[in-house]
Parts: sequence; structure tokens; C-alpha cells
Amino acid sequence: MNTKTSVLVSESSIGDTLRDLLGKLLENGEIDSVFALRETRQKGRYCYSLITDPTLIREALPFHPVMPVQGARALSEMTITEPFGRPVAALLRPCEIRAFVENVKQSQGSLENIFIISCTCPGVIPASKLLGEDREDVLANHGGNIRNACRTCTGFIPGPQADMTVLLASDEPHDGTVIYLNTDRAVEIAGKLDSLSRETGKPAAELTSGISEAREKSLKDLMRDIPAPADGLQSLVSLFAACIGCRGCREACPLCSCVLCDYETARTLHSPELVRSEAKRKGSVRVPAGTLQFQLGRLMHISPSCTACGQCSDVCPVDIPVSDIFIRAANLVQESLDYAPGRDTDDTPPMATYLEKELLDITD
Amino acid sequence: MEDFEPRIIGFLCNWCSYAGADLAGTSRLKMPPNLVPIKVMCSSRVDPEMVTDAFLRGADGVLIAGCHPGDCHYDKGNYYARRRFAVLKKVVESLGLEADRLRLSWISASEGARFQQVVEEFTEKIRKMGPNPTGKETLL
Amino acid sequence: MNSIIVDFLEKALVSDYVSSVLVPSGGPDNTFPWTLISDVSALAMAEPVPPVMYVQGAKALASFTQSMTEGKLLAVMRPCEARAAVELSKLEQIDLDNIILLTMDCPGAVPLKEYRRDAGIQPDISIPETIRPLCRQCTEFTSAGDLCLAMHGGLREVLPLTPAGQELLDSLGMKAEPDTSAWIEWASSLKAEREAVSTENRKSLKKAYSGLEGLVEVFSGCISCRSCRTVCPICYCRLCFIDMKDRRCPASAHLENSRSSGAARVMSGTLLFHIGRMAHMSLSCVSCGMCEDACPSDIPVGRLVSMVSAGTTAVFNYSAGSDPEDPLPLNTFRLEELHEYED
Repeated sequence: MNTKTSVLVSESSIGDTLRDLLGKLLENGEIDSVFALRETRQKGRYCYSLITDPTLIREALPFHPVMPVQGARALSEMTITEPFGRPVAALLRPCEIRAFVENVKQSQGSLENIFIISCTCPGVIPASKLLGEDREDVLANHGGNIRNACRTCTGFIPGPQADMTVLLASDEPHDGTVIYLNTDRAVEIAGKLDSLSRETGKPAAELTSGISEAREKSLKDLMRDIPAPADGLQSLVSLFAACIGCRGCREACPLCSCVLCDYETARTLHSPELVRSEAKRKGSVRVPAGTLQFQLGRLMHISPSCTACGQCSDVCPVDIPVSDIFIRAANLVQESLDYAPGRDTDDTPPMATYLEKELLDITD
Repeated sequence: MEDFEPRIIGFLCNWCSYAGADLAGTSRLKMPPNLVPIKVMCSSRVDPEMVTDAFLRGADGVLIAGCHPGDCHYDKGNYYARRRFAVLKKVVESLGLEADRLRLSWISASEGARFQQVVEEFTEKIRKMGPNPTGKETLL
Repeated sequence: MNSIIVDFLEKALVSDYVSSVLVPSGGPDNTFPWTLISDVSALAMAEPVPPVMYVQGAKALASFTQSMTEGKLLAVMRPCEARAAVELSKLEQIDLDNIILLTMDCPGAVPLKEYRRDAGIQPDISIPETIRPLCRQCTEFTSAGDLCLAMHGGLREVLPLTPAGQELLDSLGMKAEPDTSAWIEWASSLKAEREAVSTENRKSLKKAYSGLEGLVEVFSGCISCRSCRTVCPICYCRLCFIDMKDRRCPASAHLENSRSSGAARVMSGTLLFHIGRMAHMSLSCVSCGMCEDACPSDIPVGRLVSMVSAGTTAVFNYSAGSDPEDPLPLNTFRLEELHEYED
């Protein structure tokens, strides 16, 4: 490959460059507001914020390696009833964009008026690792501390919805800032920022092929190892044995957008007679019933559109590797349905369509 | 602080307090325009969560007003409302928030003047307390 | 303690007075799932007082007892779990007819996350560091439900607390009438000790996180996973107020909100959720600590709710889970009361 693409470059750090850029866009009215991470009043704890005051942009932490909530979930909360009426710049990781694209397809949000700034994503650090006093060390060794889901993520370069892509992860360490201009709107906006120089550079894929290869390999290992398929039911039961039923995985999932989950309905209450007869038949029975049913049910509902963000594992208080299980299943499901979640808002969600002649190998 | 105009949310029961407010209006009683009325069918319809919501969204004061005890259109609603309000006050108080921004008043349909007096009094009290800091908190 | 309870359960099951028992059993990977057992042989796996709480017992019980059970069900629970079951019966989520609650002198529970890291930790009532912060200040560590296994003051005895408990003991031909004075002495002295701890803890909690700033700070790390609510035995609503569709705000309101203060946290209902939840459930909170165990962000949410609960229950002189006949404060009223709250 020898293609060249249009980039903005700056000698300042990525954080400073983006804060400067966003502050200018806010000041000159190009955008109304910025959706970005901020640190809260407690060290090591972060939140997404909508920042409108240009002077407060100094608090923004562009692409700080954390994901307190999945960005798509936050954007969906804001745009589910109507799109933004004025432009909002949103700093999102590739998996957040993909999840939000899925939200939009399911009428859970709108991309309208959102100017997306994304990055080649090096991954984020599990929230639990940043709760301790050693957080500075953890942050310094970012690469060694990323989520499992990030280690196996091959979709770390954002799709076409990203107007700008910041080169964050790359094979060779680089100084300063490189920002790809992916859309006309990005080029237009770049034209108004005289502090950044326009150059041509190699495409992001070319600069990250090493990372891509390593991620592919980790994903392959995951597909092979988790959960060991030969063990079947017993291994699944053990895997979810510690589940306390907190449903944090579901609440944190950007794709679990049902107002009332199927597994919260009164249908999941059992009559004493039913449970007693089960207990009689088996000698004893686990209550509340349905731990595995919930996990498998959610897997059925979500796997076609799972964007492998890893948020579910992050929130699990008993460290069940939920995302490993979901990522493995999602890969298999998405492959068989020939579906890539988050690729394009025009793609029809696979469960909302069918072809007359397909999946012939699973029927007879 | 001088140009601080309190914003007060008033949950007014349909049968008494809202009618009382109406009477105050048709009687052309003068009162501060700081209260935004929300009509509810009964003071007991007001879930503590609705008051909390208004409070956290920056309402400087929240008033719940209903029929006098014994006069509830639904017989006993306001007695339950009083208990809920007591719980809410205690929650807010235990958390060190300003419980004085919340008020429960009984105002009947014939008490236009009392409505005027409650609004005046409460507005002045809130004015003295100053703006609810929730309105400026960016990490809420 | 476990073997005494298992023996008792076995007697009860064999007697046919009780047709099934609800008790934690040993599961894979150091887990203790609640199990409904009707076969005596399955009692071999029973772990009546596990070192840790994975699921609040009342929650497990409520998953299948909204209507009355046929035949007697004997449930072994920690005192806080039995108290939550009593609250749930008042909230019509559990039908306690035909259910007998057996509790014990509770040693407390190891914090769940610590236990997951090191399953060797055992709760020790005399070493506060081994048990959860809320267990350390728990004053209701014994004598809940219908029967209680006394393990202190020289006793190893199941004591009846209610007629239903007495009836079970009678039917099992257990007629011991031990001298409980040393045990009562033990309980009241520990209670006094714990009350002091609890008062002190609530004071320092209030000092640290009082007011808007403090609350914003303490809930900083909340990621809206709602786990505290989901694992709470008292939060039984299928659809929580915070998740209702009519709470949704249009994008313009979010922008306006941000504009009025310069910036605004998104996933904004954090404080509303927690304060609203406290307003809804604090009267029935049994301070079991499950919420705190479940919180992935290590927020002292259980201690905060418990602190608030102390304030709200005092208004009505109510004690959650103590007396099944005592109505829920919000389901009743007196004509003349609470005048200091109205005008």
C-alpha cells in the first residue's frame, strides 16, 4: 500500500491538541457542546460529560484509557427522543461508535448533528484496576493493563462514521498528534483551525498492522479457549456459579436497551409448586432459578450486535469473564449471519430480515 | 445574589390547592410569580422521587400543597402524603441537603388568601436561602 | 454451627412436619447457591451459614413464594435475611404462611470481593476486620425469624421465638428449656458495643459526605449499573422509577442543562437514583450490606442507605423486619401526627 491521506499534525500532545481544537470549535460556534470524559471529584473515577463552556474544556480528558459507562449508552440516553438540534462533538472509541450505530438502527438514538472524533484505540483499563492507590502506575503501564476485550479487539480502527481519527495506537511510538480527516465536514472544520498544519500521511491501517496482527492472534486464542466447549454444561454452570444476579452486565451493556428486560418480568417468578416439584425430582434445586437462562438469553438477544466493548466484564463484581463468553459467541453468530455490527446505519439488523435461501446448512 | 429570582415548583392538588391558587388569581391577589404550579390529582400522588428530581434539577424550592387533613377528596390521601413527605424530609436531612427547601402546606379551595400568603412566605424564605447549589453543579 | 443446623434440618425433613428446606449449599468455585431441598440426602451439600453472601436469602425466597406454599417450608437465614423476608411479606412479595424462618447468632459475612480473591477467609465475630463494614455495626445479629440457633453463652441450642417456631420444636420432640441468661447477656453486651460502633460510623460518614458536594463526591464512581438496586431484597419493583420511559429527557434539555452550568455529567440521574431509592426503600432497609457487596465501584452505598434508614425509621419508631404485625409506616397513618412537617 502506498496511499496517502490527509492529516492534521501538531507537535503538542494529543490531549492538549484536542482540548485546544475543541475549545476553538466551541468558541467560534462550529459546535455547541463537547461530549467527553472528565475526572470526578474522586481520583481515578471518571464520567462522561457534555461540556458547553469553552473554559471548562480544560477538564476534558480526550481518550483517557477508561470507560466508566459505554459512550453509546450515554449518547442514547440523550438522543433517544430527538436528535441534537445543534452540532455536538463526541469523543468516542471505535466500539462505542459501533454500539451507537446499532442503537440508531434500533431507534435508540440519533447520529444527527454528532461530529465524531475517534482514535485508533489502544484499549481501556478495567475500572477496578484504577480504584487503588497504585493507579498512577497502572496508568503508566497502560498497555499491560487493558481489558481482555481490548486485547482481542480487531476493530480498533473506527469505521466511516468517525469524522476525525486520532492516531493513538500505532506500531511505532510517535510524538505529537496526528489526526486523520475522514469526511468532508472534517476537512471543512480543519480549514478553520490555523494552528494545525495540514499534511499527507500513511493511512492508519498501515501504521497499525503489527497491533492488528497481535490482536488477531489473541482473538484466535480466545475462540479456542473460552469456554472449553468439550466441558459443555458443567463448565457453563461453573463459569456462572458465582453470579449474584446483579444484572450489572445487562445494565452496562450499550445494546441491552429494553426498558423492561424479559428476565425482570413477573414471568420469571415461579410458583412454589413448580420449584418444589423440581426439587423433588432432582433432590434439590438452585433458587432464584434462571442464572444460566438469563446469561444465555441475553447472549441470544445481544450476540448479533455485540460490539465487544468489554463493559459487561468490567462491572461484574465477581469477575466472571462475561465479555470473553460474549465475544466468542458473537464472533460465531455474526460470521454465520454475515453481519458486522456498527458498520453502517443502513445495514439491516440481522434479526429484522431474512433471505429466502440462506442458512441451509442448519436446516433439513 | 441580588438579581436572584427563586424558582419554586409547586405540586398542587386538583381539588383544593389548585382551586385555591385559582381563587387567588381570580381575586386578583398580588403574589410573587416564582411558583411554577404542577397540577396533581392528590397530594399523595407526589412520589418523593418527583420532588427529588425537581430539587436536583435546580428548583430552589418545592412546595406540595393539598387539602386540609380530613378534607381529602379521596378521603385519606393527604394523611399518606404527610408520611411520605416526612420520609423525604428525613432522607434529605440525613444526607445533609437543605431540607428547608421543601414544604408541605394544606390549602383549601376557599383559601385564596392563604395560597397567596404561603407563596409569598416561601418565596421570601427561599430568596434568603439563595439559589439551590444543584443548579450549578456540573458533576451531578 | 453448620452441622447443628444440618442435623436439625434433617430431623425436620424426616419428621414430615416440614416438606422442604431452603438453605445455601456448597457449589462449584467456592460458591453457595440457595437450594430448595426436599430429599434428606441432598442435605449433605448444605452449608447453612456460608462465609459470604452471594444472594440475599429473602430475595431467593421471594423468587418462588409470592403465593402460599403447600406444606411447611423451613428456611435457614441470617437474621438480616429473615428480617428482609418479613418486610417482603408486608410488601406482598412473600407469603409467609407455611414458612418457618430459622436464624442463628450470625458471625457476619466476609466482603464478597475479598472472599472471591481469597476463599480462605472465614468470618469471625470477634475480629471485625474479617467481616463487612455493615456487619461490624450490625445490632440485629441474632433472634430474628421463628427460631434461632444460639451459639453463645454456653448454648448450642435452637430456641423458639414465635408460636410457629415452638410448634416445630414440639413436633420434633425437642423440649429443652436451657438457661438462656448467659446468652442474653452476651447478646446485649455485643449489641451495646455495636451500637456504639454504628453511631460512630454514621457520624463519620455523615461528616465525610454530607451535603451536595459530599454526595456528588461519594457517588462519583457510580456507573449506573443499578446492581445495588437489583441485589437489594427490598427493591422488588419490576420496573424502577428511574428506568421509566417518561423520565426520558429530550436532547435539547440535556444541552440546556449543560449550558446552564457550563458542563453536565451525562448519565445524569446518579444522585436522583440513589436519593429516590432511599426515599422508597430506606424504611424497610435491613442493612444487610448486599448492595455494597455488589457495587463494582466500591461505593459505601449500604452504609449510606443504612444511615438514612436510621433517620427515617426513627420518625415512625419502626424497626424493619422485627414484627410481622407492625404495618409498613407508609401503608398506615394516624390522624394526629407529624405536625412539625406540615403547615
